[in-house]
Amino acid sequence: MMTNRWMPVQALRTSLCAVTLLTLVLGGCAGTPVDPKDESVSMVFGFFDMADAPSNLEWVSLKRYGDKDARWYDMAAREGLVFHIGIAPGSYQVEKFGGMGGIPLLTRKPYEYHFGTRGRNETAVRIIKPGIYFLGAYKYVDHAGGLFKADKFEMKALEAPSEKELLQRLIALLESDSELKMYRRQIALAKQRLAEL
Amino acid sequence: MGTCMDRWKKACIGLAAFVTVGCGTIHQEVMSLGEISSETVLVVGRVELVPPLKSGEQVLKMGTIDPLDAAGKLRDRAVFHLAKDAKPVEETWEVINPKLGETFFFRIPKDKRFVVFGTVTTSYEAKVASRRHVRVERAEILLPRLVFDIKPADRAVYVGTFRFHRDEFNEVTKAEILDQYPEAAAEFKKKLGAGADLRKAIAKPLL
Repeated sequence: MMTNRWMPVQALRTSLCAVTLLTLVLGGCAGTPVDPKDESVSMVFGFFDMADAPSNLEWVSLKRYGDKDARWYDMAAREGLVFHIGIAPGSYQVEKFGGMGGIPLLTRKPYEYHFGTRGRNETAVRIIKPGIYFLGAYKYVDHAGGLFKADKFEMKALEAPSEKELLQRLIALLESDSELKMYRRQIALAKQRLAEL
Repeated sequence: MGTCMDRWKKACIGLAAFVTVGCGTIHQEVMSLGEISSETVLVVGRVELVPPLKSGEQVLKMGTIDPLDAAGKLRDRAVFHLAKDAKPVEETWEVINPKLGETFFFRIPKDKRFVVFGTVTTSYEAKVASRRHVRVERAEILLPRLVFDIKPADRAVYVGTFRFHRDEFNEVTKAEILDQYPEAAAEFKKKLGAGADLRKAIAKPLL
């Protein structure tokens, strides 16, 4: 079936009073710390270019689908590189993401975007066995709605940066971060995948 | 001031629900053949979702007030938008909302035979984001498009059982159009009597 996978989705430029603040500690896992010895979890990563968006990128929410209860993981976002080091097996896709935009002290406010909530979107991934999974690289493309229509946007798939480039960035980040370098298994998985590319 | 603002917010939410759900005419199910005019036709069929919606799977929060029962128009129902031609659009002014898993009996204009957009809403939440801004978060299962075979002389047509298989992401992965005419004809006769023929006119996918 044809889907509207890339139909522009209305930007949710809201004035929400609060947005969950993400801690980057432990690879963006805001909640239970990931056990470095846990061999059941996977590392998931991707890239969001928000240069043309009205906000920066501070968080990405990865939602679990299927028979199990819905669960959300907050992925860390560092200069467009998004990742999480402790994802349990299941079916996932990015549901929402967001950040802060506007002029500091004047119009600064949180922004929240939906990646696509009509079935499967491009970030969908089934994690059956523990490993490393790439969600893809995307760019925020704005579509102005005009005077009487809401602005829309799409997340356009990018050829570059490639999975290889992003893995190199991710490995460097994990190895240099005092909180993350203990995750040797995840680093090894990233290096193993890099060797395959 | 607070009360006034609360009313304003409630009105906004109600309006948002109305615009989003009740856009245009949602046709009522037919109770008698007398409701069918020369300009309209009764369509009989069924929509099934595989696996079916689980209890509590649909989250429908229309806001603090829902005077038009917008939630009821979505709960356990598909929504089909009808049009005169096959042009892809998201919403039209002619809508039917068959209950999932049950035989439907809807009267539609004869010239609106294209199902140009179909959904099952799995989540709808109207939220007040600011004084002037109500935002709606919704998630939907997009259904394949269809075309009904309606002829000028028709009074009642059987269009088939639309069985939509979905995966865990709520993507329709397979669509079947089944001919279950004998069962539908028996229900037709029981519900509306023997006053009209139910012509078998199985719908086709609209590509």
